[in-house]
Amino acid sequence: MNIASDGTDQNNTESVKGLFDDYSLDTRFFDEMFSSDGKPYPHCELLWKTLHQIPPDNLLKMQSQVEQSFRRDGITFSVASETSKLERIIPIDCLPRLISMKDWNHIDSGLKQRLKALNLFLHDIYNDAKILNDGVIPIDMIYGCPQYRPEMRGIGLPQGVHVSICGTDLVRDTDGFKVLEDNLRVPSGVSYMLANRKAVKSNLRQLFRQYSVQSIEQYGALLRQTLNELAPYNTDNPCVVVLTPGVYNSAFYEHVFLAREMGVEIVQGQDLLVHNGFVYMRTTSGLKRVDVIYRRVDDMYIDPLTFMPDSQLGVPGLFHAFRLGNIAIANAPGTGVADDKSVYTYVPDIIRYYLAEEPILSNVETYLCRNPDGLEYTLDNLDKLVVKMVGESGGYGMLVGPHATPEARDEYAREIRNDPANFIAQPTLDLSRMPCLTPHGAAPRHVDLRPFVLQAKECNIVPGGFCRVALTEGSLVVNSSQGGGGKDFWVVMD
Amino acid sequence: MLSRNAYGLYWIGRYMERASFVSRLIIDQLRAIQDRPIEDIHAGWKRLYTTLGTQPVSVELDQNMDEEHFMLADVFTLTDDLVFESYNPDAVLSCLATARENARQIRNNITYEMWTCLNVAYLEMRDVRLQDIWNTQPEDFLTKAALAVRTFNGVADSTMYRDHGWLFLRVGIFQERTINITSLLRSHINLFPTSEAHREWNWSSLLGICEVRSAFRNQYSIKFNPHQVIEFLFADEKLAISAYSALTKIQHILSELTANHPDQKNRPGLQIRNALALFEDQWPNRNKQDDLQTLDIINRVNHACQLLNHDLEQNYFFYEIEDTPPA
Repeated sequence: MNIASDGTDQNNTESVKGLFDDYSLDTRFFDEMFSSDGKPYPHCELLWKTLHQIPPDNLLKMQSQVEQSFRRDGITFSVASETSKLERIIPIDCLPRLISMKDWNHIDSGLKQRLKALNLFLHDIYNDAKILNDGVIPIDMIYGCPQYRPEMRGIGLPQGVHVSICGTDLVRDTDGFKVLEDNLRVPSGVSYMLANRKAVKSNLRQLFRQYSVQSIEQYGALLRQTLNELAPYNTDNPCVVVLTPGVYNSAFYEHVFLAREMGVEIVQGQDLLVHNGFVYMRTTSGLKRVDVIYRRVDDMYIDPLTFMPDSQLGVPGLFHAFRLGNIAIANAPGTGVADDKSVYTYVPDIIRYYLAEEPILSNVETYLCRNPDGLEYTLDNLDKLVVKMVGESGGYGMLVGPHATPEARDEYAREIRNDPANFIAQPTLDLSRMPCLTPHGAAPRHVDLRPFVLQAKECNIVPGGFCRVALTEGSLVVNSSQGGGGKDFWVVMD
Repeated sequence: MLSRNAYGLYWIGRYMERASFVSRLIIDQLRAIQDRPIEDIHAGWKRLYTTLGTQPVSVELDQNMDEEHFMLADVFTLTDDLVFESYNPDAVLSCLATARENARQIRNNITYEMWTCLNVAYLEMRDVRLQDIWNTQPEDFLTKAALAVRTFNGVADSTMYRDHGWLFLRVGIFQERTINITSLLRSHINLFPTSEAHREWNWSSLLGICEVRSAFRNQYSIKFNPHQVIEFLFADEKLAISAYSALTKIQHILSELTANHPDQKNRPGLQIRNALALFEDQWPNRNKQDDLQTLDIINRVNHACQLLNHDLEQNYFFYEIEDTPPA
């Protein structure tokens, strides 16, 4: 279907050959820019008109310049499976994704509600475990979860906040926004959200101004404020550090970026030591006490004395200092149990249990293979479902049924039968689509969204998020490690 | 400042300075092959490698001296070894890569401008191969590398906050500079003793490597007297690249670093103070005709600088943890 340049008549033969001439709509997918009749949504109209005024070649040139600037600035990541230490950039698509303020307010309320409930849940399961005793969630699902940390039992955290930084993956289909996944351990992507904004803002300056796009640049200050509020002692200027596994971690750029944005040190395990229950970092002026650690190291690696004994990334004795209340760690160890893919299915119940409210954002329909019904349905419909391992993330260990070969599906079915509790299944999602720039003009590509929620004394969300896009035509996989890219995401007035 | 970051800055300073120095050494040598006799070219390679304290991989310098074809083939191999060989830590590209890797690890302790400057220089050079530039102007590539270092230093100077990080970056630069200039003088004097009949060109090239030929002409003469050249490069207090000048700056930085820590157990820099004393006491009183005396002082300065690593590590980077850390 062709969309005319004036956006009113799809069959207008006078239409100017331009960016959207070959753009096609598909009623199966929600389009982020155009309604089903081919007209841009009111909040996208200005964008649509502006893009028509820019020759497509100029847009492609702009895109290439942005990618060059990413490389120059070192906005890179590495892929875990690659043996070479090649630094890759996350490709950016220069056409921003827009959302109206009304839709954003809905997301904002939904995410705040969700994180509040999840923090209450974490506090509960590591203390009184009322939700388990009341039979809302199967006990074995929690205590058998690899991410459950018995070491956390009985630890009361300031303000009961276990998760201070959360990145929730949202998808949109024809029914609206849904939560695909909660990332409660070490969610990444926020640096790309900010880098994409900086790049697109400088290239679409006038449009940006005309739209009065909601600002996200305050994220670093908000994160610092959040971490400051977690400090175990009442100090005016607590010493906050970012703990990174090091330069070969795929998100190292982001760790550096956040440390810089917050004006704090980025440290590795070797820079820290524990003495008399307090944590210090080694500086050129002697040892300096640390109050808050924003850790970007997985639970199992943070302290070889408590967790994985051969970890080279952690700090011996760190967990002891944490138990004593002498150091705050964000996110606290053991939060992964709440973003386990099995527990995910119970989040609506968790919200109802703790808040006595209906969930504002719904989940994606999910089948638990641990349940006989779910297992049977999954095995019978493997060609229609996306099956995931409960402990994996980043698109790894996943079967996209409709795109898999019969052999791959058979192999995966065997794995499911061997350990059903390790799998969940979801229908193939009809991720919404958004115009992306290609050498042949604008083309629809599937997108998702990861907004970031900050929680200490207050809950804050910057009006934006890391919008991921599956750059390959027809692909539904948006993960940067598997060919995904990014888009700037604008919250604009209705 | 976090010790590991200070350590990273220190090595950025050292590797950037080394990249510039090795570039200038090779530029001089590549110019020599255009019009110098084969013995001079050969001596030039020897001076270059002994200065760096290494041997070229799979090439014996004493072979093929008489056969110009082989010598020319060697020029390519040796240049490749010194510019692009990733296994040679002193190769220009290796130095830039190591400096950049250090910068990448401590990016929040250097300015955005410093990172961009270093990253862009590296990205522009990393995919170049010697065969791509050999038939045009290989010197241009090296000039560009040396210029990148100068630009980086200028950017650091104009954008960096004057904290410990700045001091460690600078101490790395000046330490490397002192080691380089003293190593170069030592190799040169060993190859071309001042008492022997000398070719002016050799001493002129020494000044060329240091990019101070015209400064020398202005201060001394258009004749390149060996003793004057040595005096100029080793002990001239107004010459930024001289060993004395660099050593003085190191001493100044160490004083700044220790100023706030009077209780420091192993006060660093004793070796540097002793080395500086050599310039006051022994250097003016040596017998200039006796190369051995000259070399002895140069060696002692070089050695003092080599020891500085250990001093800095013990005091700032990897110090022992006291029983009672500060509250």
